[in-house]
Amino acid sequence: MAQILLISSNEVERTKLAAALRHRGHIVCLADHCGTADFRSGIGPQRIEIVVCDVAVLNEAGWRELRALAELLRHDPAGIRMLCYCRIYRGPRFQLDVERLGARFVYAE
Amino acid sequence: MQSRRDPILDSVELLVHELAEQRPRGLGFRVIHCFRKPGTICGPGEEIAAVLLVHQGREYWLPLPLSLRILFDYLARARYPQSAAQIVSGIRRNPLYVSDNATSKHERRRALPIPRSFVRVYIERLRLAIRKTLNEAGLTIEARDVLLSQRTVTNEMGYRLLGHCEWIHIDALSSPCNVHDGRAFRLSPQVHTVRSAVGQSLNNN
Repeated sequence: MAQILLISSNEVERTKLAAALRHRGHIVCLADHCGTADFRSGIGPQRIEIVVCDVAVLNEAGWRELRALAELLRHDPAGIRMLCYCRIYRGPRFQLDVERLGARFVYAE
Repeated sequence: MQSRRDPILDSVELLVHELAEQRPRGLGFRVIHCFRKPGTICGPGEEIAAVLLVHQGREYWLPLPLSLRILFDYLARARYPQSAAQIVSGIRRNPLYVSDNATSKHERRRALPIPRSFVRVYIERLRLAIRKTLNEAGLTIEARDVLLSQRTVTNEMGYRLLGHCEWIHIDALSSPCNVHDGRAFRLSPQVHTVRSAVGQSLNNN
């Protein structure tokens, strides 16, 4: 069981994925984009262990927020993991750009 | 509801397992022993060449002189907190530390025994080096949380290193190793690795 912060601007997608994660026993906290994700105090006294982020729709501001979040996580001593996913195929270059931030990436078409 | 083969869920499970694997182990260190005689491990004549912090696949060199490398190596092997007297006697009785550096270029120089009254000072210097390296690695962990001081019911203090350590041995016949730039460290083909976890059973401090 892990404490997961799920970030997705798609509410339907977010709800479905959160339900699936909860079904597997994880504690899930939701945010609609990186800027609103208070990952440090999101879930009670315990800290977030994994951040799952939907990167299907990323504009310039979205990239900025994602970079800021990744930078924050990179220096976290607890070693918070970040997983980015995209349900739309955007090619290997996009995947590389996300992975350069230090996040894992998965295409979930 | 997501299908059971959803790649997102599978990736999350993978991360959960990774976290479970890595969390209890604490920080990772790597101690390099040079001049290993074939067929021996941590025997007399080896040199403790470098101590490295391993974080996210990168190595960060701990700026330690010989005496502190010996102290670090000793504490990394100790499973329980060690008092100053235990550290001093343990280092004096271990042939590795007594004859450390004997086959290196400083052949005549033997490891100086650490006086008991200096152990506290050495521990502080070791913490200073750990702090510098943690800063370099971008970690916000206190050096005091890595190298613990645990008071007994009397005034005696026990010192313990938290984390897991692996020892890498380089044979005497290998090419000279470049240890002082830390990141550019290259291992020769004749390496022998010994892994050990320290402080696992007493992590709740």
